[in-house]
Amino acid sequence: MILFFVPAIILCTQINAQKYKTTEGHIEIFSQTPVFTIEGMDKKVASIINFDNGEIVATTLVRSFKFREALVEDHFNENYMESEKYPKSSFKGMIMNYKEVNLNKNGEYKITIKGELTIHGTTNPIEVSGIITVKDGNINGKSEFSVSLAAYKIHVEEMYKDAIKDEIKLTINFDYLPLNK
Amino acid sequence: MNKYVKIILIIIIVGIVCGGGGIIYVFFKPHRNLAKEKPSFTLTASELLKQFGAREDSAYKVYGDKALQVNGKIADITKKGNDITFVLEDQNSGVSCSFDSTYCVVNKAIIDGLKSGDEVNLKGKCDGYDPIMGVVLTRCVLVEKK
Repeated sequence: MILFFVPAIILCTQINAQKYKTTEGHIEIFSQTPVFTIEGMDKKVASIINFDNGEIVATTLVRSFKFREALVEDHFNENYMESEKYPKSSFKGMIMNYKEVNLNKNGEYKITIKGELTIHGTTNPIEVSGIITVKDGNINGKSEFSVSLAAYKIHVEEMYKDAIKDEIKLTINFDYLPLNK
Repeated sequence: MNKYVKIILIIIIVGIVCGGGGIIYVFFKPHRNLAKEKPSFTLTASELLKQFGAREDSAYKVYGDKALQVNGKIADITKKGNDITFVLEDQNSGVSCSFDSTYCVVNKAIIDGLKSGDEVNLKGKCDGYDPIMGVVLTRCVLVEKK
C-alpha cells in the first residue's frame, strides 16, 4: 500500500511544482558617455523560476542583442563579446526570499537574488535586487544593475575608453507564464 | 601667408569630410537585410534541431550568424506588441523564429493569417541554440507559406 502511495505523492508534487518560464525575456544594455551612447536590446532571453526552492536560471544568445547601429552590433559581437567563441551569457542563482512571494495574490514583491553570472566565458558572483509582480497567475520580473566590463575580461581599446564606460547598465524585464500550461 | 591659409583650409575641409564620412558610416551602415540575402544553408527545421541537439558546438560553428532558410510546421506563436515569434516543429524546444517589429507592422496581414499547424518557409539569422529556447533565428522574413 505504502509502495503505491509514495510514487503517487511524488507525482502529485511534480505536477503542482510552481515553475514559471519565459523564452521572450527582455534585457537592455545601456552605456552613456559624452562621446557615445550605446543602447542594445535582446528580446530572446529564456528563464525559469522554480518557486518550490527559489531557483532561477536565465540564459541568452549573445547574437540576439540588437543595436540601432549595425556597426555597433558588429563590434559588440566581434571585438567585445566574442560571440563566436562565447555564444551564450547565463545566470544561475536563488531568490533568497522566494517564500515571501505569494503567487496567488496580485501584488509587487521585492526580492533579492544571489547567484553566478557568466558573460564572455567569465563567471562572477552577483547579488541584485528586483521586483516580482504577480498578476492573475502570471508573473513579471524586473531588475536593474550594472556589470563591470573588466570583471568579465571584456577588453576595451585605449582609444575607445572615453566612449565606452566600464560600468554597463542592464535592465531586465521578464514576463513569465506558468510552465505546462 | 596666403599659401598657408589655403593649406590649412584644405586640411580642415578634408578633416570634415573624413570625420563626417566616419560618423555617417557608424550611424547609417545598414543592418543585414535577410530578404535580400542568399541563404548559406537551406534545410528543414527538424534537421536543424537534430544537428544542434547532437552536437551543439560544431553546429554553432557551421550555422552561427549565417542566413538559414528553414522549412517547418508552426507549433506555437507568441505575440508581444509588435514582436512576433513562430516556434517551428516542437513547442517546447523547436526552431524559434523572431521577426523584427518593423517587419511585423509592414507584413501584418500575412503574418496574422498564419496559425499553428501551417507549414512555412522562413529565412533568418541563426543566433545559436539553447535547451530552453531551441534554435534561435532572428531578423526573420517569410519566404512562403506552403
